[in-house]
Amino acid sequence: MTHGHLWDRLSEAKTRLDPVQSKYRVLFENPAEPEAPAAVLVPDPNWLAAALAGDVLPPIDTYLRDQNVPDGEPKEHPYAKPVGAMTEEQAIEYLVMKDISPSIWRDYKGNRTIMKIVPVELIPSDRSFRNAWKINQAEEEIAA
Amino acid sequence: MSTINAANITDGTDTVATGYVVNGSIKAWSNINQTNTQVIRDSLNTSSLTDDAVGNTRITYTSAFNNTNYCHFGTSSGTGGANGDHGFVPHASGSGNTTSQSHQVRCARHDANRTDVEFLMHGTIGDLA
Repeated sequence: MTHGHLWDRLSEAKTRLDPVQSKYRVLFENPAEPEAPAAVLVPDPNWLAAALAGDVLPPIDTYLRDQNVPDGEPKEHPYAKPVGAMTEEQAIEYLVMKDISPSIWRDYKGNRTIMKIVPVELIPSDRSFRNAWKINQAEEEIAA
Repeated sequence: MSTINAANITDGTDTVATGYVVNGSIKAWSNINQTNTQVIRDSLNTSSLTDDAVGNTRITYTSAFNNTNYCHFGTSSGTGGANGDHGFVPHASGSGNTTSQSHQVRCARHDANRTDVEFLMHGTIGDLA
C-alpha cells in the first residue's frame, strides 16, 4: 500500500487529529548575525499532533539530504515512508533539525550558548524590548 | 488512504480537469498571533513559526515547495493606536532568506514601523516538491 505524498497525509491527518500546542519553545541566536535579537521557534499545533500520532511525517534525514538538492530537482521528503509516533521531546528535537540551520544546532563550536529548549513559561509575554532579547549566558534564560 | 484517479471532475453539467483543482488548491495556510508568547492558532502544512523580531515572523512548511516562485499572501489586524489599526504583510522575497521551505513575513503599521499583530492570516499557492 502506497503512503502517498506528504501533503496528502497532512491534509488527512488534520481531519482526524486534534491540534496540540507545545509546552516548549526553542530559543536560538544566529552566530552569523551577532547583532540580531534571539529568535524563538514555535511548533505548529497540527504538525505536533501529526508527530505525536505517527505515520505522517517523513524521516528527518530526508529533510537534511533535501537541503542539498537544488530547486526544481526531485526532493526525497514528500515521498519517503513516514516514521512512527514520537514523544513531544523527540518531536522538538526533530523540529530543531528541520527548521533551524545546521550552522546553529550542529556546526557551531563557540563558547556561547546559542540554542536552548525551554518551557513556554520562560518566554517573556512583555515584548516591549523584543528586539534586544538575547540568551542570558549566566542564567541560560532569555533576557533583554 | 484511498486514491481516485480521474482526468476530469464533473457535476453532470460542468467539467473541469482534475489538475485545475489540484494545482489551484491552497497548499498552506496559517492563522498566527504575534503578540505575547506567539502562537499558531490553526494551519495546514506548517511545521513552525519563528519569532525573529517585532513584526517579523518566519513561516516554515512541512511539505516544501518545488522552488521559491510560490505565491503567498496575507492580511493582519488588531494593533490599534494613533498610527493605524491594521498591519500588513509585505513579502520580503529579496531580504528574508526565502527558500522553498520557509520565508519571512513582516507586519507594520501605516507609519511603516514594525509591529506585532494579534491576527496574522497567511496563505500560499504554488507547486509542491
